[in-house]
Amino acid sequence: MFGLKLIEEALKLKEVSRAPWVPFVGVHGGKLIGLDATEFLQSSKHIIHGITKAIQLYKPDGIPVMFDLQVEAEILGCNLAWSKDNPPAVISHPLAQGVDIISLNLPSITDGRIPIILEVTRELRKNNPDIALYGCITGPFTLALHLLGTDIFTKMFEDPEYIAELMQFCSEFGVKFLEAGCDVIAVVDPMTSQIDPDSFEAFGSPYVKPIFDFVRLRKKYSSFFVCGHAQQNIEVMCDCMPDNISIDENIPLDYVKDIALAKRISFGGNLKLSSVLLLGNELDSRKEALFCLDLGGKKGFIIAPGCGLPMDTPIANLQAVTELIYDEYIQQTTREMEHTSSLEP
Amino acid sequence: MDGADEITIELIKNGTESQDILTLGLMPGMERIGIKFRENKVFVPQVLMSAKAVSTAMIHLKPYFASGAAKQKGTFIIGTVLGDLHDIGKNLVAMMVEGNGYKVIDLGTDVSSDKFIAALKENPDATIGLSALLTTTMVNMESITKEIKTVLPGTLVTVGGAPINSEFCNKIGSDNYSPDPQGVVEFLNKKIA
Repeated sequence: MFGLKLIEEALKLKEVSRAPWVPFVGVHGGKLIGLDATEFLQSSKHIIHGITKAIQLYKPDGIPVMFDLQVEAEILGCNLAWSKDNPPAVISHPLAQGVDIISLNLPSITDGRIPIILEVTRELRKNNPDIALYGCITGPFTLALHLLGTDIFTKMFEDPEYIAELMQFCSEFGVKFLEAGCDVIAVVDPMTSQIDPDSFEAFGSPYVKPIFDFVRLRKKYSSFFVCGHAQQNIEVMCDCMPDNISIDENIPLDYVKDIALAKRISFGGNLKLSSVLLLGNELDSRKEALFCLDLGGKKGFIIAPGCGLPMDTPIANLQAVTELIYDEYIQQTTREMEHTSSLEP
Repeated sequence: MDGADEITIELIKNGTESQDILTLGLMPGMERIGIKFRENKVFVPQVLMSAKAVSTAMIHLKPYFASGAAKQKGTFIIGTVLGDLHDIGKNLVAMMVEGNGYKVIDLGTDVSSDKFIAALKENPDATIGLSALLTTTMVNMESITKEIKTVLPGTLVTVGGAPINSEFCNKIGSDNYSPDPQGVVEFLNKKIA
């Protein structure tokens, strides 16, 4: 079994022959075709080319069509600083500069880079009917932070009604992206890693849960990605009832596994990005992947990086992970191999 | 209930020494928040609210710093390194250090070595804090640290940010790495206070 079918089995918590593999290829796709992040993320032709190359090299079961958490913010008037080797950064926050929430509009399919996402999705679907396509939408809290800046953290205490109104808008904005035709909708909300569970329940859950409910109604699957140290929120994230949660490297995978499976939710992660995949060698990467596979098991687990892959992640490291995931013999030999990380001083 | 702002005004009115308001009132509170943040007992919203309370109180103490009636422990210059526009972590460190009794000069984001050196020349005893969120910009910490230490060899440099660790700190010749803001405060207290 392979691709979407295998991912569906994992999402339904069925025992699988091997854990499905979802490399979060974002700007790394540009690297694969010799382009910088600025060129890559603004052209459907380039994204299709880069992601197709990633599919050939890494044989994923699922892959995001576009991993850029600034798409929605750009449409809503945030200025972006583009970078050669990273996704763009938001550098202005309209609501902190006097813009009223009421003047913000929900998007249409012609706004900003939405046409690019739609075209990439259509083309990738046509050429890869068996692979699960992940549509990433910016989580409401992260989008709200793009719009308001760090004042969001203090306004949660000083003006909770305002933050509630903002979160409502941001969650409705994200839902508009569901039309793109992906198999799994990933709500990517890294900034929730910075808040406590009570704040999450007050300002996160009421706005994220309806997105997952809506995805379920549309007979699609959902995943909740939180990059960063979000251990304190794993339980409340699961209570939002996504089909899957995907977590970063700084949270122990077995901790997440126990909570997620107890709540009948699939879980994923959490290959170390910079310290292993980016800066390590092939053996480091195989050992890391094996560690995740052994902890995650074959029920409900999707192996993935902790967050979006850095642009310059060596291709050989990701291919080493791919080979190990597919080949039980390589798993056995890697398990028995003595190993000291190449990054040890 | 009165907050830090009202209580500070009241204490000044009652003749409490401004130094005592800083060292016995505000600093221990900020230190407790810093430790709780390190222990994952409070998170960014609570730290920012605490820092906001301290900054509001500090406004009333500024004239006493200027006259010398109250003294700050030293000067800390902080910025996110060249090429990096992320500021949440840097702001948290700046607020925590200020709340622990230091004068903080925040150079913002995307800061070149020239800017750090210019600020250092105006404040030669200051310690430098370098922040980076990206693996692609953390490498700029090395050149900035080297240039600072070439121009002003005795300057202490502390580094931090999501991709940084102590091995990297040692490799680039910085003096300290802290995974959390309270670690920076403890480094400063040990080295210069």
